[in-house]
Parts: sequence; C-alpha cells; structure tokens
Amino acid sequence: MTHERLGLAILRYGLAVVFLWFGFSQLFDGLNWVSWVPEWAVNFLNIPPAFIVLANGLFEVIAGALLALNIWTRWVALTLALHLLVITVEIGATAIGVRDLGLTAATLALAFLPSKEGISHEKDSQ
Amino acid sequence: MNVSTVIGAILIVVVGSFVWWQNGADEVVSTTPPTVENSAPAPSVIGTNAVVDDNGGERKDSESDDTNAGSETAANPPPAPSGMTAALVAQHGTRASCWSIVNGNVYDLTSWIPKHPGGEQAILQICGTDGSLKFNRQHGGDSAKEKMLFGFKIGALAQ
Ligand code: HEM
Repeated sequence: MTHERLGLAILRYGLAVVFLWFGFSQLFDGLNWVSWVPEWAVNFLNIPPAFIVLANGLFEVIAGALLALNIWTRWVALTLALHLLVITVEIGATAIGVRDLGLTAATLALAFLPSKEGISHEKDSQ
Repeated sequence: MNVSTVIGAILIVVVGSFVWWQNGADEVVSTTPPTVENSAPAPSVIGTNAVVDDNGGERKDSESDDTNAGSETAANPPPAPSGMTAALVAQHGTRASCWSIVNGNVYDLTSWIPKHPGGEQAILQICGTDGSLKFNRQHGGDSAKEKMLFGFKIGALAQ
C-alpha cells in the first residue's frame, strides 16, 4: 500500500466513523439532538424536530456506511460536505462550528482526491 | 470482497454497537418521542377534537390559555365527556410519568425532562398540571418550539 492509499484510507474510515457515530446517536437517542434543529428547518419541513432528527440520522448512517464500504465515495463525500457546510454555517464561529468547518474541508478533500488513489466512483471499483 | 470492504463492514457494526451501548441499549426504545398516531390513548377523544388536532402545530393561541377550546369547537360535535381529563393528567405528575396540558392538548413530556435545554426543573414544574401559561410565557410565538411540543402530543383535553 502506497502512502497515498494509506492516507486516503485513514481519511475515508475516519470520516465514516464520524458520520456513523452521529447518525446512530440521532437514531438511538433522538431527543438529545432536537434542540440542534434550526427553526427554519422546522418551519420549512413543517414536521416536529424529532422526526427531522430521525431522518437526518438515517441519512448520516447510510452515507457513513457508503463511505466505510467505499461505495460511490466521491459523490457521497460531496453530498456530506454540503450537508456539513449547512450545519457549520448554522452553528457559526463557535468551538463546535470551527471544528465542523475542519470536518467539512476534510470531507470535501475526500470528494476531490484522485480516483487512482482508491476513491471509488462505484461499487467495488477499488 | 476485498480487505477494505471487510474493514468498512466491521467499522459499521462496531460503531453502531458502540453507540447503542453508549445510549443504554434497553432505554433506546423508550426515548423515542411519542407521535400523534402511535400514542393516542382514546380514538374517540382524538376524533371529536379534530379541529384542535389538525391545527395543533400551528396554533398561535398563546394569549388565551383556557378559553380557546369552547369557541374553536363551537361548530363541531360536542367533545367526548371522558378521556384525557385534567384529573387524568394530574395522575401523571411525576418524573416517572410527566403529562402536561398546553393550550388544550395533552403532552407526555417524560422523556423530555432530562433533555430540556432550559433545565429539568422547568419541565418538572408543569408535570400533572396545565403548563400553558409557563410554556407560552417562555416559548409562545416560537413556532419551532411549538412544533417540537407537538411531537409529544398524546391527545386533546376532554372538556
Ligand atoms: C417540548 C418542548 C419544550 C417545552 C414543553 C418547554 C417548556 C418550558 C417551560 C415550562 C419553561 C419554564 C418557563 C417558566 O418557568 O416560566 C421553559 C423554560 C426554558 N426553556 Fe423550554 N421547553 C421546550 C423546549 C425548549 C427548547 C428546544 C429550548 C432551547 C433550545 C428551551 C429552552 C428553554 C430555556 C432557556 C428556558 C428558561 C430556563 C430558565 O430561565 O431557567 N426549551 N421551557
């Protein structure tokens, strides 16, 4: 395994763990997360925040699993980066927001890294 | 199946199990908020208060705590005499089972007590009682919090 491949694997698995952890947490203990749901999202979707949390959790678990399995990594990473960007902007320049900015950048980097280094466009292309 | 796929699959299972364990595996189900559909205790009560139910998440009746039901449902069939009465709510006035009346609806706030960003005491003080005044004073007009409350609804208050 080249250094590049190792670096990419660490980035991909590391981010997968982050999204899986947050996703599962929202599914298993949704009430812990409801106060994070922004008012505009509640008004836009017109459903109780608890359900938004569950849907968001499901999305993050699926996306995290796809990253872990290296399936459609580039597109999944791009989608997750946009998703995280919205969260980052929403949270603002606090300790959590700045940390999320770093995660957004890392996820975006994963989306743009060259495919020959192990990023798949589709299932089992590695 | 290659090595990286196996590592990925293991990660998913390990992280999922870890979070499950972190959240206290057997409590998980009980922390899911009740929904209007799955926790409605008496269909007759829900049915006869359809107007209140349909508008529950949207209503802006913060000013009139107790007067709304009569006028809003005047054109509808009379509400069921039994069901979610204030007396029944009063029996759920503890941390173990915390029901509260807010603006004519009954909410099971038990699972919300430890999660409330404004502190446990704020919720505990309205368990078993009509919490309309306190809720409206703090959160009235904040549609996100009103919709959040709606997620805990278990029925309409029988008149
Ligand atoms: C089901 C949803 C909620 C219910 C039923 C609820 C209920 C209440 C009640 C009854 C009070 C006490 C008001 C008083 O003593 O006069 C209160 C206070 C408060 N709530 Fe909520 N709340 C909810 C959601 C939220 C959310 C989502 C937040 C924050 C994001 C929040 C933040 C606060 C704060 C900061 C206070 C003031 C606490 C204090 O001054 O000691 N609440 N809430």
